[in-house]
Amino acid sequence: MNRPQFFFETPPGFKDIPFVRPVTYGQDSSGGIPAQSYLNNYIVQMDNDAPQIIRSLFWQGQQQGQGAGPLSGSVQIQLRDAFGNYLTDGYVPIWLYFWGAGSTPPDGGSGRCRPFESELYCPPGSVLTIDYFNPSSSATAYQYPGLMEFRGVKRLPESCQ
Amino acid sequence: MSVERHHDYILQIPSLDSGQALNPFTLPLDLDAPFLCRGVGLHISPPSTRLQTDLQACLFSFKNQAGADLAQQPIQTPAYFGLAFGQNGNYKAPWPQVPYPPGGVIQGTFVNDSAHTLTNLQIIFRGVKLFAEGAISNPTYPAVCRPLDFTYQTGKGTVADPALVLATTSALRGNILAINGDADFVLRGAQAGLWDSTGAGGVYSTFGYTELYIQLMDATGKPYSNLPIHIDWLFGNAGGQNGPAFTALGNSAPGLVVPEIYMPKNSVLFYDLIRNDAAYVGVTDALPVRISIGWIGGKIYS
Repeated sequence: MNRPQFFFETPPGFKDIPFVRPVTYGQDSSGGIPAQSYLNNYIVQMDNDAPQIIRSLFWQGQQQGQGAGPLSGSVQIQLRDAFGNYLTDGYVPIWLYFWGAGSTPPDGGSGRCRPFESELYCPPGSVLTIDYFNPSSSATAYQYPGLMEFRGVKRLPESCQ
Repeated sequence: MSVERHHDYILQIPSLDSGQALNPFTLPLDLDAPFLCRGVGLHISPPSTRLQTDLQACLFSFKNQAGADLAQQPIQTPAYFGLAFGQNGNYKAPWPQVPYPPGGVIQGTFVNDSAHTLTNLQIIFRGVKLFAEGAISNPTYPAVCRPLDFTYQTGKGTVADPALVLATTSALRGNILAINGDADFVLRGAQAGLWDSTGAGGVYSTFGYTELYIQLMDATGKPYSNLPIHIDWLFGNAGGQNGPAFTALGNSAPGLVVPEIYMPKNSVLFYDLIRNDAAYVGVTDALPVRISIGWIGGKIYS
């Protein structure tokens, strides 16, 4: 069975506008996750004015202007949607989950987003949750949360300007 | 109504000297179903690095089921494939698709015009087997369902999911992707890479692999290819950035499985892993490699 991505249509009475929820080290952080340590329940707070439909995740790297490098390549995450559903089978190395969808090598490679199929519906004011595990044997801490963008649309009433 | 099932037919040539031609090469097909060829790719065991550059100095053409040439004469591979040799899961796409009957053969011409002997040349024909409705098990979406993006992972190193550790020359057969009991799972792509880029403190290679092959089989053991295929020619590769010549190793985005593979809850997908890196310890070092595989798709709740 094959069908195009994002076949979900905008329901009558609404309009979709492009929307990005960025997560940046400088904006939201934070600190470091030592080797062999967990950091759970990192919250990505969504806007409270309208539903947001997240359709992809773009991962750039550990921090702005830094190569993700082997260190952040080791980090594993598990992601939960706005309703608490796990989107991963435990903690998955980010280079298996979305690192490959990041920016230029060696940070990520393809420059493409990691699509969500199906899209993630986020009610106004809801949260996405990220759990981290740093399995590295290196003494260097991983600087969370990393640099990423949740991309999709915001669903507004058609009457909105 | 017919059923399409992902399949790769692979012709493997152990050695092809410089200047030597296969004219024709002949690849016999299975008797169980027609084959619709929708992609063509090439792969070699590289000479001493991970580079596939010798493939860019060859000539290639193939024929349809009636034996008609699909090119006036063999074409230089960079021109024909446009650098989509199958790495990254990107294959040259014949258009329209080229159908072959059950038990048919794929014939063609391949000329090694490079300066080196090609080792373990694989000529890959990617497409689907076409079954009549009811001829094979064909689980699919229920009439009413709720999809949820989901990624399974194998190689976690738990009791139920052992670590995937391969010495330079080794095989792990009968590995299992087990689908949980809460929902069906539809597999749309996969990504393989190192479990830990630090090599667990020197226990495992930090340089990944060069020649790692995989063969997928459904829950009945029916394979999705006639031979194991290089894992970067089926999946993306997510762990190669630590190694030399990464750009020649594979993709950093997941390869897509088309058509997607639908697995009911509590079912399994089997896969074999075969590593032949003894000749490449200068590239990957001589340590075993521990890999992990991300199985990307969606849960389907009914």
